Amino acid sequence: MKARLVIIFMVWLGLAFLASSCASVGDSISRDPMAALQSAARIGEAAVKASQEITQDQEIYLGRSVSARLLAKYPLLNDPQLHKYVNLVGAGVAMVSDRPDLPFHFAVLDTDEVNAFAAPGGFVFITRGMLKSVKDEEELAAVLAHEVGHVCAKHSLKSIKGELWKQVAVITAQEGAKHGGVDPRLLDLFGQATDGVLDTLMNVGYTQPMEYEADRLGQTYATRAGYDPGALRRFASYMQQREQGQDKSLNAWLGTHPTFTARLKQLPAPEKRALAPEVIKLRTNRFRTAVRR
Amino acid sequence: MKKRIPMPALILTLVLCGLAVGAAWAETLYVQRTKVDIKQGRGAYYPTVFSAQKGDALEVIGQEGGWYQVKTPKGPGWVFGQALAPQKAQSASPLASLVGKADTSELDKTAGFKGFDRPTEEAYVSKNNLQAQIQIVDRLQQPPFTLAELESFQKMGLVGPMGGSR
Repeated sequence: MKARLVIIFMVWLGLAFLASSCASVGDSISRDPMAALQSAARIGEAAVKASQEITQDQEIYLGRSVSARLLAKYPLLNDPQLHKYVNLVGAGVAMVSDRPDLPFHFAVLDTDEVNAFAAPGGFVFITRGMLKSVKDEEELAAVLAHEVGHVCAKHSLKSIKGELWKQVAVITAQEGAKHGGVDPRLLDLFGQATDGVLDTLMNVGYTQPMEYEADRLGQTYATRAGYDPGALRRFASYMQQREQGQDKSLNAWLGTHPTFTARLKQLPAPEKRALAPEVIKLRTNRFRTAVRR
Repeated sequence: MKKRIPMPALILTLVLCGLAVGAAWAETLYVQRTKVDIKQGRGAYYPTVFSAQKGDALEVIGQEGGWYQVKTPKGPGWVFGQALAPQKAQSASPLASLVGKADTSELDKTAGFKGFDRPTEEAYVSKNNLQAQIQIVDRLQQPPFTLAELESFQKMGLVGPMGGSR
């Protein structure tokens, strides 16, 4: 009985302490919210990690601005039938990806460069040069699935420095007391984030581990979607030959990607699956019709 | 000597077990994102039935492949599981972790904006003369196929969630 009373007293004491702590935090914020925010902003690694979180809506806004900048460099290919076909193939892999609730959008850029880009928020671009390099719907699905893999793993967001997200968080918090208008500092950070992603996509490239991860994810998604599990390996082997033949159209691609030789070494063995010949024929025919070869 | 369980106690136990199973099935999950679109089917390309807000409670009536079928004021719809949790949403705003405050919903309501949003994008587009390009992006966000075309494409080619291995 005595022991039970002691336990009840200790629980009561704990609750009282918790309540007073919460009250003091709340008081300090209400007395001087800016000072509380600024001091809290220095609390270290945990805060940085938390501030790296970005909502899906914010990711899409960032993806839109990155896409706009890409479209300022490369015009869109004016081919509605091809655009529809690429989106139908891309949707098939996106719907079985790890972010099936994100609406992915696919587009073809009118350039001979062999390349593909994945902007945040599900915007995927493939060049006309890359479309010429894929032989069938299986390989097209594999290439698009690789880009979907980058989006699912949020590689482009990870390429932005954590410090930038922390500043966005602090400014957003400070703006809580204001109304209307866009804070110039936030606009500047939005520009920096857009520049950072664009630089990664077009100049620096993702890290090698990120590319290998996108290959693994892409192979998984394409396989899940019912495509030939070996298509990415087949495409990479063909590109490896072009790479070894020093094909100049691959220069931009190789400036931002590991070599196909290295990627083939990292790519897991594909699942063995026999596809019905009539299914392969149907997919090949619609690929040829859309890509017009 | 064996003790026999009285029949009324046995019936009561079975009824309670049945109620417990029923309660587990009629699960309530809470929206964790600022906004989540509840879809007519299991995929982002299906029309939106209803948009739920962070903290909204959704009654689950089915589950398939990571998607939950839930009740909404506009009828049943599907929402991907990553947007839901059994507990009511803690604010996802980075502000929460910065100030050590569990729920910033009241602060969020007074905020002029929440990070990168439409006004920020508009200001950026204007500053960089990207009006023509952002209009193209707007068009890209409209799927160039109908839902019937998507389903037919996937069914005939045995691809996607309808024809794939999942």
